[in-house]
Amino acid sequence: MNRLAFGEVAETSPRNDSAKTPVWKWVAGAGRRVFLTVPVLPITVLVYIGLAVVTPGFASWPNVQNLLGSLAVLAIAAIGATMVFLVAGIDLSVGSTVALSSVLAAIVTKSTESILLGLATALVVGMVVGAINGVAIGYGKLQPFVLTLGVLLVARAVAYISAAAAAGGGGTAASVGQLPGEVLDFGRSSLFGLPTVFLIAVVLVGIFAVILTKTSFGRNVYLLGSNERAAQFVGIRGGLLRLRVYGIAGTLGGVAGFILMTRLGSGTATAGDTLLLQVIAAAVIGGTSLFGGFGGVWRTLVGVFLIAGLANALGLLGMPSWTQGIVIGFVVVLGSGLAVYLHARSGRK
Amino acid sequence: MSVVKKIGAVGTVAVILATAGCATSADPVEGESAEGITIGVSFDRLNDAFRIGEKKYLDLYAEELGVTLIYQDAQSDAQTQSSQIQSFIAQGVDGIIQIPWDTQAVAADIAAAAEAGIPLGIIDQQPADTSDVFFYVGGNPTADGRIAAEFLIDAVDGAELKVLELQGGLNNINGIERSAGFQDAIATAPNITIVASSPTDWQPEAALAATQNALQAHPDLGAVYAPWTGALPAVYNALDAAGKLTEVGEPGHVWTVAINGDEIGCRYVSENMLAVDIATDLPEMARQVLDAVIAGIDGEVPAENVVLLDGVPYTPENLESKRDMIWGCS
Repeated sequence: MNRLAFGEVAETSPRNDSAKTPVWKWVAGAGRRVFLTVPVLPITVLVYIGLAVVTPGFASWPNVQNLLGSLAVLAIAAIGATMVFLVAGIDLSVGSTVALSSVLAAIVTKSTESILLGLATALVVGMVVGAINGVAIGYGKLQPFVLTLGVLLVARAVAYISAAAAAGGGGTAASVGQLPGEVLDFGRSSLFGLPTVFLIAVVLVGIFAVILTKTSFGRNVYLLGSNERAAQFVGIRGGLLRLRVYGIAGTLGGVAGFILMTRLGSGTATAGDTLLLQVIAAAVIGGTSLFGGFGGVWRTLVGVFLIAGLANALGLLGMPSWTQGIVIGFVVVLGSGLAVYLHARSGRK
Repeated sequence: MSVVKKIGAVGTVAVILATAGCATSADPVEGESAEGITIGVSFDRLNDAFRIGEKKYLDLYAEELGVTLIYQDAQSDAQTQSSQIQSFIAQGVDGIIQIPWDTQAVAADIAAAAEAGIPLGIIDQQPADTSDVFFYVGGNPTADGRIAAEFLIDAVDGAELKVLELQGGLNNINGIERSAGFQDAIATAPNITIVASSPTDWQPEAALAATQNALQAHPDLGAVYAPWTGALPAVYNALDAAGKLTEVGEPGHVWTVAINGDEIGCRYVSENMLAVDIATDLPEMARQVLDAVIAGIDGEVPAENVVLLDGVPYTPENLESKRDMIWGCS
């Protein structure tokens, strides 16, 4: 049995500890498993504590709500990107998919005054982009990097063209605004005191964590990413599985685009430019391997928290963007380095 | 045991620091003085000379007025900027100044600030819908383009002239209107022909390629319109390679006209290379927005909520007399 393919399950499954095991030993064991499963989690907690100490206002409840709301788009887009990484792929078009979905969803929402039709549009757009990626990579055997780079350029261009066409004689060509009030009302609403969009992101992370760890589909994803030949031997159809993974990633990009539209009250063609690198960074910091077969969406969510928290706090501190880049860059390198080290260490035991 | 100790230590530290963090969060915003006003400033980006110039004059007038400014850089991301505005509101700043990245999405920021009762002044990037804007002040891109064209019309005095029009980013109002203003004015002069209108997206590389292409297609090219001074080094590079780089007034001179007023424009005007640069009035922009926001904090409403400032044209002949008005020269 391939270690990487099922490592995620083994790490997250509770051990069959004896009933006589002292509580502290159980806690220590659980803590160790958490550290090995999501090595960046304790670091993230410590970073947050440190940021709360040094950053006035960081730990205030309004800022926490603001932070949670702002990371939803990144978290949802990063779920799909993580799944793509797990099959040893890469999706450079994720940011452009989000941007295109947000623009087209905004156009439909504006013209029909129906937020549900906007959501449907975003889902369809994401699904179509994902399906194009999946077919070309899964069956056309195109290099994911090159293919998704091309799709990135096309999707971004279509987003700009669509926004320009929708703007007509007025406004700017980079975004579509003046949407019905319910759009922003939804994007900035709260449930149980937490931003609705954040709760949606957490639910999606939970669903895909279960899918990846508890279903044959998920196990096949890990196996295909860690050892394609072994996957073929056990009858996994790599092309179809990649199509499904890229399709899911695209659809999640569509969801993220819709959430972005509701957060901003506009569909914006420029959104993808910064999102792509954040998505990759979140997955890498979380410890998901870019070479496939190892990682998971909870890890990525922690990476999202780390990036978003740092950006929020450094901004509150008034730190220039250059300095922020240095700090976040160091964290990406150190976080990914730690993940690689711990992964290798746990593999030797 | 060692693992347990480590976890215990981390947990203890976490509890202590979390408590400290929560206590800190209740403190007032750092830098806010009891008698002063604190204004949050969100820039769409802070990575070029123009934005740095805007920050310089905001700082200058804020210091004169005794106002504390807290800066945030949205790094060209609408969601980041929206989050920053929310943070300012959560921090309880007295006023907000914003240069929006997304001129549509800024509507949500305007609504949020209004709901919180915080005056929000916007500079430089005009919102797509200004009906609910508390105050906006910016350059007048249409007028700037028109002034550049009128300078050329006067300069050639009826002689035939072929012009290359470089265009900025056509996804923002400054790019669109600087082009529209220029084209509309040139259309009134039948002796002047725009031989090419080349989009550059504010990229010097694109300006270089466009100038090279225009010089190849039209060896008798007589003028280049650059809607931002950042294109000028590339334009002069192409002219130099074609053996057409001369000072203003020399035989065979290819006219160059530009908009901005930064140190690049100032240098080329002082070297008698650039015939005219139309400087955006950054000092006035900073002064007006600070005055409006401070008045808003006191409950006053500006007489006009949208103010467009015409640029200040300066040439090699009048540079010294206008130097103090040009933000890139001082």
